[in-house]
Amino acid sequence: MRSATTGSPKIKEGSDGRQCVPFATGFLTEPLEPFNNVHLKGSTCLSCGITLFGTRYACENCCSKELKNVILSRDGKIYSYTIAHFPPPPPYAGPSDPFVPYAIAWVDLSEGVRVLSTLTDCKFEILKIGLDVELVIKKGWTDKNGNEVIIYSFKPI
Amino acid sequence: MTECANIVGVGIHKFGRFDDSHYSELGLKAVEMALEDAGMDIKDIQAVFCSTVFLPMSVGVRVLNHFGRTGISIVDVEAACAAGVTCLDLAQTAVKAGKYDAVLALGVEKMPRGFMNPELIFEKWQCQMGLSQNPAYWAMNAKRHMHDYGTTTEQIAKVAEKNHRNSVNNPYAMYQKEISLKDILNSPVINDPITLYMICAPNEGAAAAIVCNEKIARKFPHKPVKIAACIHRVSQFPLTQVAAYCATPTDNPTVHALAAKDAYEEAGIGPEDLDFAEVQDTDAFCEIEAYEELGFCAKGRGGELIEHGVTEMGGKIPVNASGGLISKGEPVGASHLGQIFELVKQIRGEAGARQVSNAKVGLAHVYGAHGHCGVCILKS
Repeated sequence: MRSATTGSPKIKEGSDGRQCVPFATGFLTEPLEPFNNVHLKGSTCLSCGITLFGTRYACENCCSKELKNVILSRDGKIYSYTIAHFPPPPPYAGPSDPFVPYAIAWVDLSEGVRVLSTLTDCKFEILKIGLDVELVIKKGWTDKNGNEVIIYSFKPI
Repeated sequence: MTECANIVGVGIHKFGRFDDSHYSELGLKAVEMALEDAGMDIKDIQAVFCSTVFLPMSVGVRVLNHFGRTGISIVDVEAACAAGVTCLDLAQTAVKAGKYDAVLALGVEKMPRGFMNPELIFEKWQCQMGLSQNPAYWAMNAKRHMHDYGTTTEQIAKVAEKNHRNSVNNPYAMYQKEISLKDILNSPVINDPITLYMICAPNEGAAAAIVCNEKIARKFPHKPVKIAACIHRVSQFPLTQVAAYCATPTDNPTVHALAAKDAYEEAGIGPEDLDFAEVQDTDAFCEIEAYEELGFCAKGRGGELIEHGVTEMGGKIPVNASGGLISKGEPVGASHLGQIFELVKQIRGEAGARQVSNAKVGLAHVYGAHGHCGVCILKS
């Protein structure tokens, strides 16, 4: 089982001729379209019971290799958040000229997994710990080969 | 129980920015000071461990070459912000095992100016997605603590104010300036609640400690300082700070608690036995968290400690008499050895205007990216 952070993404031809690739392997289900049918992949450890984000070689918590591939829920709550007021350096691939401030949050999904994510379509004034959010799959950027890189984010419900 | 290893000499190159100095010159200064302090010659050193994170190949060798090639083993060590503790631990372990009599633990760093390449720390996709800013992690950590325990922005600012005030007496700190609580709170917001004067600057510096076994330690000019504990741990699951992207909660202790527990056990003491401490204050909230994690108070009560002056100079347990990282800056590879320099000076009664009274037992705590944590306890 490959760990989520290694390996180069496979290229899947989009239905209108675009080529879609995931931001990294092991995190998103395929096919990568339509977006509302794409889910976050997780791993549940059959030994200690924890659920982790992404496919894994072994359980990051207890080292067991007895892992079950699962689909993570789409709903969550904000555990904590912050706003990025300053543009990150390259290779940040979001809008940088001009820079568009964005929110970042630790999101608790309903099955207890806590994931780090940007927030989309989010007015900063409504941000609070405990805010309900839901998964958004969208195009993040275009890579140097012209492929559309698909990413996850969350947005307030 | 094996005898403690001892520190018989310490040296430092002031932390700051030194555009005209090659990194090996920073290292040279620290080593030269440590040798003089110990009354030793370079030929007395039998091995060197050199901690550095952002410098290139074989830094230790390139520093020691200035003194002449003695043919000894010289190794670079990387463990993010805790690199110095691993370096000291390798030195003391070798000495206690009887492999060497005298080992130099050296830390040297020159942080890149401006933004460092985030791919040194994060996966490319984390950088591309905008999830690679260290202060964002610190701020979210602080914000949740405020939510759970009522810790206030003002309490966080008070830690920064204490450390800036303490730095006035530390000639080795980059910044030696008092900053008012009001100015700290009104300084530009980095990531709410963390403002500019609540965070440390990455910079440059070097520090060194010469470690000997008990037998030969007695031959040197200064009363040796015992290494009662030297612990390095990497976080179990979950890592909640840089560079985590999944932090499903578990019952595992935090890495600070894990390292501190092992350190107290090895030293045969509890937190109540400490006279002073130098802790990780990458941002001022980190120090409040350290109070709790190191057992100075219960979980959630860290804000009260700063409110009641417990960690002030003259308080029950002065923390960061040196001014902390907020004033010294953080040259990552050198940082923990800089704390060790401070601990040794304090225990010897050589800390001048920032001397903690009756400093017999001190703790140094360091923490950084990827869950690296170090806790050392030194005693007279």
